[in-house]
Amino acid sequence: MKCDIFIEALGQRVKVLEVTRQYEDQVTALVELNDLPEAVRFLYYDMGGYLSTMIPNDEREINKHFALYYVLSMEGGKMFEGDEVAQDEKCFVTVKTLISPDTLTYPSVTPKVPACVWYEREAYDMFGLIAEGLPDKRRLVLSDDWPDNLHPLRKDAMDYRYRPDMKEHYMEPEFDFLRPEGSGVIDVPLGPLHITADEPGHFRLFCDGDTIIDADYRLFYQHRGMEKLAENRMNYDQMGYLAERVCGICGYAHAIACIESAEKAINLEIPARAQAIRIICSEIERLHSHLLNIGLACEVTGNYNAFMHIFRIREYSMKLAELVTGGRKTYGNVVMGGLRRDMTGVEIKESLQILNIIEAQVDEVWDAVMDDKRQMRRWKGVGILDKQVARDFSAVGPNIRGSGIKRDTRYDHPYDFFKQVKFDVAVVEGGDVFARETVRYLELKSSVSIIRQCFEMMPQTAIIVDPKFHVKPENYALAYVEAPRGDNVHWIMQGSAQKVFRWRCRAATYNNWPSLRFQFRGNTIADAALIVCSLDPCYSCTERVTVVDVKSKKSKILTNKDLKNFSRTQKNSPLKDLR
Amino acid sequence: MDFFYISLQLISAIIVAPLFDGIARKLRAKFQSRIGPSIFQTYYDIYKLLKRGRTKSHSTSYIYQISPYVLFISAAGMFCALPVTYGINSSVLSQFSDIFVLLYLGALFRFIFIVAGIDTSNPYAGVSASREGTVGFYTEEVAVICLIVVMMGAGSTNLPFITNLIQHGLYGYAVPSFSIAATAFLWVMYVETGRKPYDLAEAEQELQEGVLGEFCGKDFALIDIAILLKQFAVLGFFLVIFIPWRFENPILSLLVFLAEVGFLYVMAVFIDNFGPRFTINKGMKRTMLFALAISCTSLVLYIMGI
Repeated sequence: MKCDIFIEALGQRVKVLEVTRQYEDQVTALVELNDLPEAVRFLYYDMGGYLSTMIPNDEREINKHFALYYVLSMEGGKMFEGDEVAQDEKCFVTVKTLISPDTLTYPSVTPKVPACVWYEREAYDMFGLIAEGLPDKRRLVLSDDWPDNLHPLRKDAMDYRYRPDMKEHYMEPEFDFLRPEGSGVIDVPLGPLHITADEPGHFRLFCDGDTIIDADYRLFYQHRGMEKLAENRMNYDQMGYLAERVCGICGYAHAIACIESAEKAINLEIPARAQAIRIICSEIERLHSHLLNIGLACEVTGNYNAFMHIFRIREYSMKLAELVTGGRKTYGNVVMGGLRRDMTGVEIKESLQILNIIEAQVDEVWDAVMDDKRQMRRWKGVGILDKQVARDFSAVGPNIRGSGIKRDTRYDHPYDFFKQVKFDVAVVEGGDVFARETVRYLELKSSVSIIRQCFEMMPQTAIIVDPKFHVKPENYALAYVEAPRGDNVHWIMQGSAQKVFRWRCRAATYNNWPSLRFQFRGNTIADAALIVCSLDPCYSCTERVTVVDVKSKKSKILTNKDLKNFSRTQKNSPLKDLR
Repeated sequence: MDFFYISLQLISAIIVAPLFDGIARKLRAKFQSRIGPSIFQTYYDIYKLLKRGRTKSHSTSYIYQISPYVLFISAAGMFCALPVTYGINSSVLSQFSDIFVLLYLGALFRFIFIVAGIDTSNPYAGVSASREGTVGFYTEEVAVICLIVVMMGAGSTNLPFITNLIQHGLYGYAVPSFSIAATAFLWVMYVETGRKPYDLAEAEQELQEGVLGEFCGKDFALIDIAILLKQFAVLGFFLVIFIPWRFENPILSLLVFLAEVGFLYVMAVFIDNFGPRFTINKGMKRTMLFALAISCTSLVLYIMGI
């Protein structure tokens, strides 16, 4: 069986208490608390793993403990030729440990594996689990004025309707940025409301003249609390619609990942046609996301002409989405067991024509951009992500492939129809903006070819099986999808009554943020926006909670009926007596 | 009568400048495969802004408040100093129409722009102000070297006098140093208009519009007009020295002049629409060295006596 060699090796290193298998390529090893850093480091660096996600979980009602799950994607370090695990041995190994609710502490893994830093900071915010030895203990997810001892994801933390008191704007505590020592350092804040980024994120650039010497950032201004929302309240069909609202661009990837993690937990195989259409949709998302990003990388340097032409092409990808899903956005299509909408032969024919147009026009525009020497000078040598930094922080997507590391979930852990589709993983050396944009261009080409192959090989089967299933409480599984920005990893532990016990959604950008700091260093302010853009960041993906604005001290709970009524008639605002 | 014509010169420029801007925007849209806004869009923008009120940050001082007016006045002064509707015969006005007057009004415009940027204490406006200063370092010496060639060649710094000389063929393109200076001077005047790829100070994405980002409403409308006027004035500066088409009838020469400036303004779309913005330490420096080399060549030629 897959994974056995890793578990065996791990067993020689540390004491493995228990091994459970969730899926053919997913195994969990329970280790003792003090062995945790060594176990993760051993799998990460010695056996060639990348950190996919880390899930803190409140399991007090199951086994009277908190649990931590470090999920490692075993695929090889990929730092040089041949440094890779054999294709049929690639799998996911989860290192699990239990934490007693009396002490709430665990040894931090971050000093040994830097990639864990954000996860361990989030574990404190959400569960109050303290990582001993974590170098950076500042808040990550919760807002600065959040009460100190309230950890929202604990099962007994708070009533769902509870809203902590808001502070006046000027009373809000300052976030303390990691400021480098030295005289003549100027702070330049990029955000929280950056005019052109349109999304809230506060990047503090520390500059010496025009050169950035260091940077720090504060994100999560728009945490929407989706993980809390899902727990024990939603059934699996609703989960898909919640998950796709994580992101405006790669929503479909989130929906697939979320639904597949539930399908995997009950070992449900969906029909081949549904698999193919799921792949087609996620590739369409890749088309329009990459076109958007290449366009923006031109726009932030002031090249509006290229931006507009790329957006003209992007319009075709929206048309394509309309043919496949019925809407210009790829929303509302995925359900447990398959899909809601099938494609007709006419639609497939039309789609193939549109693909030809996209392919031809992408080449034209890309050649024109390549010919523009001034544009190349703005891209080349800017925002370099060192290969070792990328390895240490488990970067994903075009960000890591631009640094010459061949890491692509579609290739490492083929899911759905990707077992039959042939494509090349785009890898470019260099690590600068130019390399990342080239990766995106190559992926545009490969996406077009993947969609074509899917249309050709798509069998005539049903698109949905009746998901007559009965979930077993405490089962969990992991699902992964290569979204345009990297892999989205969803983890679901099932609860009783066909509901979710714990949903962990890790969007691609979450793994890319921590290394951004290294990309800033040594560049100029003029390039800062370009570097952030080349990462293709998605703020809202990383952030999953809604801010509820309570201006006056009064509060009122609206019923579903009130709200619906108001949205229909626009009269008798239910909030009137609050103002 | 002279004063009537000079005010006509200024007012007509304020009235038609947004039209040319609108035409440039339309043309740019065509290149970008867009339909684009109406050619009157710039009028609508300015009208809308004029209706809006002001807000200012509490860290600003009176400098910020008066800067839109000073910017407008210095740009208007620059435009009035161009001898379009008046010539050498107008004894009152022609003595003010001087190369140095234009240069110093341009410097005043830049100075106010920088001071207003620093006054807002917005870090981006500060960076924008320092970039504007740096652009000045690059452009001004090239402009001055070109103008030295012209001044020495023509023997005067008085613009109507130089225009008159060139129109009557006593001095002009037959002199190699003059024609080479024309090339560098046009280049520098284009940089002075602050359009891409030289729009470093107003860079939208990088600096969030820099100094301009701090202004709104009426102030912003006024600055918009001032910048349009300055762009027209610097292009006109090139035209009155290097392509003077002056007629005896002031109205006719005003119309021809506006058409010329507008043509240059719209044709600049072919430069500003394609390619990204320069960075201050790479693209800007390198291209301005070319302009400097050209202007120095013309100075050397002048010293050699050709």
